[in-house]
Formats: sequence, C-alpha cells, structure tokens
Amino acid sequence: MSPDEVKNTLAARRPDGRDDTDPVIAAALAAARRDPALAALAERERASDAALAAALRDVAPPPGLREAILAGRAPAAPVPVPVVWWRSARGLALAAGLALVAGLGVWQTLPRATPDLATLAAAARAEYATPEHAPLVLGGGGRLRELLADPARPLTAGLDLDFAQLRAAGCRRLQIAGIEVLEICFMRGETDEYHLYIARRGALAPARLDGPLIASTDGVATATWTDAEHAYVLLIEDDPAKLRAVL
Amino acid sequence: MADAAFTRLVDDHYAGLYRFALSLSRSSADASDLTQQTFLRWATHGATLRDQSKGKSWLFTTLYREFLRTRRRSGREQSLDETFEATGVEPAAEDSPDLELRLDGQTVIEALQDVEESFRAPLTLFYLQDLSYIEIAETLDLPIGTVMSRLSRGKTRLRAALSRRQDDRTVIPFPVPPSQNP
Repeated sequence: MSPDEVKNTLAARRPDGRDDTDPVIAAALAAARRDPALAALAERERASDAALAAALRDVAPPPGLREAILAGRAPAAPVPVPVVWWRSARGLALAAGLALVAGLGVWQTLPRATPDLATLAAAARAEYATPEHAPLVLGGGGRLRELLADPARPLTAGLDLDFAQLRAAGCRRLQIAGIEVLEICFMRGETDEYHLYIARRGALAPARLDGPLIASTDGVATATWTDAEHAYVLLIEDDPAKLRAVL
Repeated sequence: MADAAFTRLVDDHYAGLYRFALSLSRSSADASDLTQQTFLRWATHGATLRDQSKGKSWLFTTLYREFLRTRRRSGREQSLDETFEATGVEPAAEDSPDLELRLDGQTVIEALQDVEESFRAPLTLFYLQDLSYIEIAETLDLPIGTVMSRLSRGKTRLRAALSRRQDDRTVIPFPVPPSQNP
C-alpha cells in the first residue's frame, strides 16, 4: 500500500475507532505503524476528525421537530423553494392531467375512441402527480406484491393476475379514460418504489405486442407493455435504468 | 404510528438525519421538512424492510434521495460530475501547525455548506459517525474508492473553508503530508 493509498484509506476511518477492525482500514493502520511520518499523520487526522465530529454533534435540531415526527405529521409546508411549474415534473404532470381532464370534457361530446396504451401511460403519470397519491398507498394483493418484489423475477415474465381477486384484496381502483385501472405500489430493494398500473388489455385499443417501451419525462420514467390479458404501465421516479432492471 | 419502536427509531436517528439534511439543504426549514418526510416514508414503507437492522442506512439513503428529488423538482440540479470537474483544482493546503482548536457546530455546518455537494454529502455522513465508509458508499450509491477519495479531498476543502471562518487566534489542525513532517 503506497503512502497515498494509506492516506486515502485512513481518511475513511472514523475517529472513534469503530472501523479499526475493518480489514482495509487495519491494513492501512499497519502500514502507518511501520512509517513514523504516516503514523503521525494518522494521529493528527484522527484528532482533527474527532474535534469536527464533536462540533457537528453540537448542532441541535429545532425545538418541536421530534414531536412533529412522532405525531406523524406531514411537513407543515412544502420545501420553500420557488418552483416554476413548467420546470417541475409534478407541475408538468399535473398540467398534463388537467389537459387530459379538459380533453376528456371535449372527448365526452365527441364519438368515443378507445384509449390506447400511450393514453393510459400519460394518465398514470398525471395520477401519480396528484396530491392524492402522496404518501404512496400500499394497496392490497399480498401474493402479487411478493412476486413484484422478487428481484429474480422479471415483470414481463407474466404476473398471473386475477382482476376480481385484486379488487377484493383492496388494490387502488381508478377510472382512467373511462376504463378500470388497478394500481399497486411495491418495493424492489430497500428504497426503490415502483408503481404498477394494470388495465384489461381488451379495454384498450389494439396494439402491437412489442416489448416494453420505456419513456422518461421530467424525471418520471414509465415502461408500458402488454401480455395476452393485460396492459401495464410501470412508473418510477428518477431512473429509467431501474425500470429496465425489473422488466 | 408513535409506538415504542418508532419512538426509539426517531430518538436514535432524527438528530443525525436533521444534521445531514441541514448540510445538504442549507436551510433549517428545508432540513426539518426532509427529516419529517423521511420518517413519513418510513411509516409507509419501513415495515417492508426485510432486515430491520438496516433501518439506519435506509433512513439516510431515503433522506438523500428525497433531497435529490426535491432539488430536481426545484430546477436547481447540477451535475455532480460537472461540479466535481468545475472545482477539480484542490484548494491550497494550509500550512498551519496544530494549535488550539475552537470549533462550534454552527461554524462546522457553515463550512460544510461551503464545500461542493459531491464532497459535502460523504463528509457530513463521515463526521456524523453513524455510518461506515462502506455504508456511506451504499447510501450515496458511489463506489467505495470514490468515497475514500472524496473524503480525503473533501477534508482538505473543509479545512480551507474552516480556516476562512476562523479568527486570528483559532487555527484548524490538519494532517501534514509525510514529506513535510520533521
């Protein structure tokens, strides 16, 4: 281990010594012990880090924060950052939703056209952006959620859905573009939240059975696909790659 | 929601989460919101965590992602790589000897807020001492080597930021490179 590697490694050593048994840190400490200059450097770094860590602990949370958390209250106000609506994913999605609603008003007066998968995806994005969606609803469908959460199972492998059972299990039921849609939120890994919207394929305009189509708009990514019985819109914030990983 | 386990989780971690949020957001109100939002997410999703011993990492990861999400919505996002490249020149290393150390929390948090975010996030997590460098890498979704490098370089930047804030009588100790040691 070169002196620079030792220095870099020891920069990651917490000053309270909790990391000293970590093999990488232990190797760096052993190298430092063989070199008086490095040993002195390590000790000075530890002392400096301890002082900074102690000072950081002096920063007290504001009074009432703990009680507010325990009361389970949502933040009193949105994070006060001025947001221009057309630069906000939720604003855009909400606008898209309003446009969709307005469009549906006009649509009511026109000969009805069967919505297609793209319409369903746009409506799902709009629904996701509505305040009613937050905090995220954990719908029913326990067995299905286990399948959905299984990292070894690609979602396009088939989900063996039963609409009636899903309804009975308490999944969210939505009316989107005049058709019934069920929604399930689920996790893959510890923190990745996915939102799956499911419709009967027969309720949508016929579409080619292409593979999943992934699109990303203002930080909200969607994947759309169909199987013999159902049409799906899978939605996640931030990262289209996380969609590809589960399909 | 406020059962004994949840209360214990809040008591164990809300202060650290708030400090992390404060260093990221630079605003006490935003930091409070981020901290509350993180526990709100725990209340809706935490029970699904298979390994409850990873609750601490889950909370810090969730807060960081919530911060990134909020910032992206505000239109203030800046590529971390751009930040890193734009400020890639290391600040001049101070050559102060070890002297009396007088630091307070406010000074440290303000100095942290002066450091670019790509360094600030791992530095704050490091000084909170709640997470190992491996857990910091997982929380920030960075390779371990990158975390080590950013900690090493970030400390140099933090010391530079601190030294700008110190009066003449206070000097921040820092490691002298081996070649400069007597």
